[in-house]
Amino acid sequence: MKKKLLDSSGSPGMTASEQRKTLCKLEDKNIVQLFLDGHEYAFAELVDRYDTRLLNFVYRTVGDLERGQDLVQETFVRVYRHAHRFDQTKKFSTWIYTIAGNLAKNELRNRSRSPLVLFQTIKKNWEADHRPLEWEDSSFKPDDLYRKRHLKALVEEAVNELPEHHRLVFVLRELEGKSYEDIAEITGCRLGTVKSRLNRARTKFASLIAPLLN
Amino acid sequence: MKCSEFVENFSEFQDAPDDSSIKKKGEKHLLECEKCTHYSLVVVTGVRILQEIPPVELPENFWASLEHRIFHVRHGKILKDSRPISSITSFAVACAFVLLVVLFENSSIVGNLKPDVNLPAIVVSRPSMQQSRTPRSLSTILGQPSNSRFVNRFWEDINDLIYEYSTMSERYRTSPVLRQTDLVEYK
Ligand SMILES: [Zn+2]
Repeated sequence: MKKKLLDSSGSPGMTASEQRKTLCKLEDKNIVQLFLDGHEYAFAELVDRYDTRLLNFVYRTVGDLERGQDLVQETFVRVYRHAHRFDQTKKFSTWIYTIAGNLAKNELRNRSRSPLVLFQTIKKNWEADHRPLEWEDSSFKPDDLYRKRHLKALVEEAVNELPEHHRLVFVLRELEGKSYEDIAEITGCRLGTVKSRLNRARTKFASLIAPLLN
Repeated sequence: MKCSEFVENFSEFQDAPDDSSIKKKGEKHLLECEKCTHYSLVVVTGVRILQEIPPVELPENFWASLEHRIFHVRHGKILKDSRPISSITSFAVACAFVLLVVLFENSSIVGNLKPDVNLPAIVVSRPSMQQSRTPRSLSTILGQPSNSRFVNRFWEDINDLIYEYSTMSERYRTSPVLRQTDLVEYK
């Protein structure tokens, strides 16, 4: 797709690599403007800038990679359709994260209404609870790499355990490095709410991982 | 600073600039409190572990699949653009329909199709339903149950006849009504 869009750029006299070089220097909002001016290749650049970031953000929020990919694609489709609605006085990254965040929130809301998913979650947790504890087996001495990997998986799981509103704020702050103001805009909450949610998320996160770290 | 106060304001302390008063207050508390130091360490370490986890990669078909979806959006847009008067057209169709209905109601041409009723309208006034039904006492005298269909029909017809051929209809009528007839004649 990248190649296709770059080829059909509508900028005569410029090779694809020249276009890319030019685009790399531009800010997001300028690229949006280029896209609005009819240059499709600018859209490919936006996708290129945000695809992996958004995938990780959405995946951490909804905890499902396949669904995460779907939601990220939907995010880009919405950007494509509604780019003219973007307020260019604001940050594009905040706008696109808002779209992705709303889709993730909807996904979680729909999921909480679906008894099938609820059952699957319970089943998954039950299976996790009843799995034999590797660390209690004295004959089993995992190497450091394995231990680290296991720890990472458990810490990752701890994020999924956070209540959804808290998780969204936590992911935006700790993994995406967003400022409180940006988080407030993305989540549509007041600054005070962001602060309290983040604090609760951190406390809960600490309580979940403390036994693992000890 | 109390421990509860530290935990409650942990986020602000954590994200505050180094020279801020809350940062200084928090750091002072950490020097004195082992519990809060441990708490702070757990959060920081946990987040660091999380950040070290390699990001998930896009699947190979991500771009192709997105391209497919964008194609449909673009195709939809083109279709929309090529029919800019679609909403106007539907509005015009609605207007034409309303116009036809009005014409049908009023037009003299259409009026010729209506049946021409030659019978003069008879002005009558019907007694109210409560008054015209079978008198309970008579039904009781006859020894018939009041809900008998035969008795009900009989009294209904008799009442109507008596009423129509008496001056009662003239005396008590309040408003003229059109009597319905089934007799219609077509030209
Ligand atoms: Zn303390």
